[in-house]
Amino acid sequence: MQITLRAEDKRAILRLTGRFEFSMHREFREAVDTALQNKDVESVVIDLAGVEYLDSSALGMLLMLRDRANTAKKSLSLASPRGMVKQALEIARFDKLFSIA
Amino acid sequence: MDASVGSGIKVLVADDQKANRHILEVFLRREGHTVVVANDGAEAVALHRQERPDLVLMDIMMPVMDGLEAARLINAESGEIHTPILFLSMLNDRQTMLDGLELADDFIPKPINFGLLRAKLRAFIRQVQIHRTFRVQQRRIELYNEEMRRESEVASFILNRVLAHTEPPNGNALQYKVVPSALFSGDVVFARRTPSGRLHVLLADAVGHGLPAAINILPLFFPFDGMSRKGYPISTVARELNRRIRDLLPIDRFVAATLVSIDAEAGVVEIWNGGNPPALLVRPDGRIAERVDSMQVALGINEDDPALFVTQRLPFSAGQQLILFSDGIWENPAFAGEDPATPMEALLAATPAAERMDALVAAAIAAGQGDDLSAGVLTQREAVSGRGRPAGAPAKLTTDRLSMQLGVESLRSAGIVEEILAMAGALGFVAHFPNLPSIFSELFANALEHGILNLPTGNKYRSSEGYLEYFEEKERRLAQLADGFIAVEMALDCVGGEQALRLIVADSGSGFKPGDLPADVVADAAGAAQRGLRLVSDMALHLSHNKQGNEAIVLIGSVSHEEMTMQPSSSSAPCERPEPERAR
Repeated sequence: MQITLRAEDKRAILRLTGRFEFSMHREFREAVDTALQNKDVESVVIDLAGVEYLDSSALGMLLMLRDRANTAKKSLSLASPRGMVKQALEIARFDKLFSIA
Repeated sequence: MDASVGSGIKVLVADDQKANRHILEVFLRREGHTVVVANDGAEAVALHRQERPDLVLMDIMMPVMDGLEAARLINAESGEIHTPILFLSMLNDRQTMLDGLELADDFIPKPINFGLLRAKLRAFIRQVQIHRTFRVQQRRIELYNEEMRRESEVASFILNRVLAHTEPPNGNALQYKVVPSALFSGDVVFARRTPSGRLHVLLADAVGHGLPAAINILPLFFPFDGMSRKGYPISTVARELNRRIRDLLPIDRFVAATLVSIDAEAGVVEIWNGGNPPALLVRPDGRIAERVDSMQVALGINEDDPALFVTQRLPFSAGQQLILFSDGIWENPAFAGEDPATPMEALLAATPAAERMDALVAAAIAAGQGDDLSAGVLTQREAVSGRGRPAGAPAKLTTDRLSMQLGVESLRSAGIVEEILAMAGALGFVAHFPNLPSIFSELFANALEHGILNLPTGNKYRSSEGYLEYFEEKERRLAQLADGFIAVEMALDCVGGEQALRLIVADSGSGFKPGDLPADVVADAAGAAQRGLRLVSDMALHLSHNKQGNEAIVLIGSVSHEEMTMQPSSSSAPCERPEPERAR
């Protein structure tokens, strides 16, 4: 799994690729911190197009991010989930917690 | 030279020549090592046993026991911790040297070149240090493993004790199975029968695997078990579980859960699914009749809002099965595809009803288990005849009225709601009007807690502490209650030409303020009484109150609310009374 962080206007885009699971915990948190600490950033987008698998601890990481984004008063959205990832988000009903595009 | 090499080791010197021993001893001490000396091989073996040196420097030709034999014995006694042996010998003794290298780690020619000896010692000391570090770490790991093992034993003991309290699988009516992917399972199935005979089942799946996940499951057991024993509806149970998980677990931890209440008598299942794969209601042939997909996010994420714990009710007829499972099965390669339900349905249809749960679990294990697996199958018994009507219950209602007034003693009795429902059940009211138990329970609780005991509604559900305080206060006021009564009447009625039950619950209290209801109550998440009334109004054909607000009148249809919207009038009995009596 890889995480790349890109800032575009006032958006920070975290592009994840590969398997999104517990082993990513630290890296994900660091990327999130970097994005949230950037004063110019108003919204954070998690681009899931390149993620082929995600487990329940990844869902937990998204919840953590949601909490931190709320605290930092930045908007948050998930983008382009595909296949199994889309299904997992559906079952978890994360559409009720995140805007998913 | 690094510090570890500088720190001395213990060297055993064995040589029959006093001069040699002395030279070596002086040299080694000067290098900072501890020295023990032996005069021959036998002494060397004894000293090795006694002193456990880090290194042995030994002559080969010695009286009593030569170096080769001594090396053989020392090696044999060294066990796991290898003691390096360096032989000292004349270069001209080539064959002895070769034999020696079979047994020893190196060879130093005599006469001794101390530069060479120092260099070789350095290499061996480094080896000894590495061995030492390795042994320390190995010991640490052993201790750690031992501690882990003991902790696991305690955890496993507690978890097993908890699991032992839940209702075991019971023939075909209730089958369930949990297969952990590690020592501990983050999946769990709990079951508990309510006093009126409903069966509550909880299939839960906590984030992650192993012990942390298993610990996340623990807070669910007692509220689930206790509230089910008291006959609370699963919507209330789910809400309490959510509150517990939210209060106790870190923000990134949650528990996907499916809660089910089976009323086999009435032929109704009630389901709440938060974050789990769909619950499947299958026909006797294994084909899927209904699927109840995840309605809400998992427990522990959402705010404490009653609107999030609304259940779905489905008719449950003879031979039908309700099949529950965690994502370990649903997302298993065995059921890969656009919709896992398709291959799953094929398997279910090809498998006899009693073996379906085992077949699901076996298929998932065969395809490669990567997650905890859990499955539960609840089967409606064959003896039930007709839709939603047990064979034992009267097909035609012969009694049209049940009426009673409950005084203080009855109100104090813990199982009073269940007792009344049992009476209603015996008359066939529960079988004909599946929503009666939930509606009656809500109205009775309102009448008692707010009408008679004047408990405030505001703080009831704000927190776990508030919840507990509330119930303690309720117990206290009940014990002190001097007078008051609740009157209950259930009577057959007619609505739109179809049979209905009119339920009246009146209390001797002063009633609630008019205008509290019903439009503005939806917004008030804290108002437990109003929440209850909203539930009632969702499930009933009609709900009204008298002016004073201490009498609730409800008309209950002969099918559950969802069923009504799905299949209008398919199971409702036509009305036998030509002149429908209007609700008061």
